[in-house]
Amino acid sequence: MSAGAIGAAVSRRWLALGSSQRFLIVTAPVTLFLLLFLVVPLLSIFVVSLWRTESYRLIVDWNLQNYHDVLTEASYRTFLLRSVLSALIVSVASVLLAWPVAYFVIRHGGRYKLLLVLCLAVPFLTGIVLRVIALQGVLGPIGLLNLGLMKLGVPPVQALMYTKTATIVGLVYLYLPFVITAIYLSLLNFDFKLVEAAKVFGAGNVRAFFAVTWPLNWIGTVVGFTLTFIPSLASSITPRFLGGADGTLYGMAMGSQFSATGTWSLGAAMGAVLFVVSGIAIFTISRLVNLRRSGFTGAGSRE
Amino acid sequence: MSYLEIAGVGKRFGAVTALSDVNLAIEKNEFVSLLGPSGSGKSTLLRLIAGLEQPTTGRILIDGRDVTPLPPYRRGIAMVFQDFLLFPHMSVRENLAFPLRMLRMPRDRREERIDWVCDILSLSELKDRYPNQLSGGQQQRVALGRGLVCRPKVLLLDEPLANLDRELRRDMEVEIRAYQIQLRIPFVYVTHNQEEAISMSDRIAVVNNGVIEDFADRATIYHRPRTRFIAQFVGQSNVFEGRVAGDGCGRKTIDWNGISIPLPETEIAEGVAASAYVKIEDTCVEMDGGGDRAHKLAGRLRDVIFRGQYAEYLVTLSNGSNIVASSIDGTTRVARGDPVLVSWKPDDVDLFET
Repeated sequence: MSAGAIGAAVSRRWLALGSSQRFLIVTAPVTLFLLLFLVVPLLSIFVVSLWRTESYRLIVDWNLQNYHDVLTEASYRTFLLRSVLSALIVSVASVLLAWPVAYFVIRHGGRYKLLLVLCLAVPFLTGIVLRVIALQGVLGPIGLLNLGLMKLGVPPVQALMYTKTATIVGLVYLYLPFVITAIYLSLLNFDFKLVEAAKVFGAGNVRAFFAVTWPLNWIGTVVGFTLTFIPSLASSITPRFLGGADGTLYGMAMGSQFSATGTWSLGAAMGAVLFVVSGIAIFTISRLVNLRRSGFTGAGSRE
Repeated sequence: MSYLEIAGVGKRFGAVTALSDVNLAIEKNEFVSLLGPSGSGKSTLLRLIAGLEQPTTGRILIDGRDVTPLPPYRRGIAMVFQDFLLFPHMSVRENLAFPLRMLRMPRDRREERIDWVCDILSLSELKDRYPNQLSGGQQQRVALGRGLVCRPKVLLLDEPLANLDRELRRDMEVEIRAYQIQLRIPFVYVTHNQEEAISMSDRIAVVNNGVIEDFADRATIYHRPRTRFIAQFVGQSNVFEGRVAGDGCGRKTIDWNGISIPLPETEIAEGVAASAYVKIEDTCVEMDGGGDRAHKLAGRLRDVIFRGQYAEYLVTLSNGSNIVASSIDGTTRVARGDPVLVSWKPDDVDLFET
């Protein structure tokens, strides 16, 4: 049998299958992958969080003590609140910075649009630790910024490095490309003639933006916001390198349960709590999106 | 002074001249079409009137006021776009309210206006729908309503019917014209569709290569084309190209592939290359019964293309060329292959030097 004939036979068999069978065949590999590498680890974290660790050993002893510790210990609550707050600041700042960049690329990028956006990925070539350390070189006590200030005769700013502000700057720097990309893709699909229509019907530049451009790119903005908020909430490397002694974030504290202190089950409980908090955040954010109001055309069919 | 004046307007995009020296004076109750092929500059002209582009030269006056430096929203114009451009995140009511909100009109007066426009355009049932829940015709009506709701001084329409199917387009043509008569404001209507232009307009400006070929009432544009381009573009014509010759009795003819086509009175000298246009509905076909053949061309009927209200008779002449005739005596019956005669009145010939 020739290759073509085999192909034809396969496609005949394929078409003979019911649609639910075809669905199964197509989705099975992905489902398996997700089960194995996402669902099972998540469940195991949950299981471990109900156990106990003693001198670097996991002991199967079902209890809720870890959750009790996480929720009542004042320091963990402080870390969590601090993380939520800084994630919020980071996401809002990223969105505010990303909008003008994405807008400029779309409006003035011409045929280099895609190239410009791909350039945003260049820092990813170096790896996260290197990127954070590079920031140290900029913000540090004898970093680029302070050297520049001293050259101008201004005394160096000590407060820049090893502070919460440094962590926030670092996180914005890390996640800004994602936000820009999300907003860029949204604007790419946005019909700028609608802005023209708004102007014809009496809107100035500012009103046209807030009446048309902003609401119709709201989903992209929210996606960018979420892509920053969730990882910022869990961030551990950035605060470890840039935040000072009083800049400990939740993710950092959680990480140390798995390394320094070896209290895995407590770390797992912290993870489970973070999971729930992130879930609540995503749910809240999704409530901010009214698909009907987003101009999303798939939402309603014609009656 | 006319209501809408376009005085010496030109527009260049870099090295490309999109429009040069356009002069149009449009009266208050007029429906004017800008007719031309794509890329002719007609849409650019509309965008200049709207204020979406700035002219390189010239001025635009609306109701006696020079609006050239003003942004679109200060000109008192409204526009209906080809792809409707309704705001997809707003209901019909909000779309209609948009221009009024921008004018900061108080809420009760806004509602009044929306009711008024919904009434004219029968949109009352659709007020709470979103654009993606509307059919093409309904979207078109909302777009029109959004244009009319702020009672603009001029309504600009940019190929508003191009995306509608044929049936709907004909209904909308009648409706749009009716609104214009009712509202007594000028409508400036851009189209590449000559039927639309002819069926709706009082006057038509034919645009080609950035130049106004002619601006005249629709009958003149159709029956008395001023330029060769108009003759070519408007209506369907038989074209006879050749050199002008004399027939020896003081009358001029055109020598078209060996056939002499009689011409009306003309200034064009003998020996000059020219094109003669005869509309197909002015071209008569009859059975060749051996009768009077003066000023008639003999040929053979190659095919009949039935168009519904009329038929096109495709005739192959003795020199092998084809011409189309669609005027026929109601009692005549001709069939494919029959010997026929075609003829037209000399007055129906439009002649241009080439």
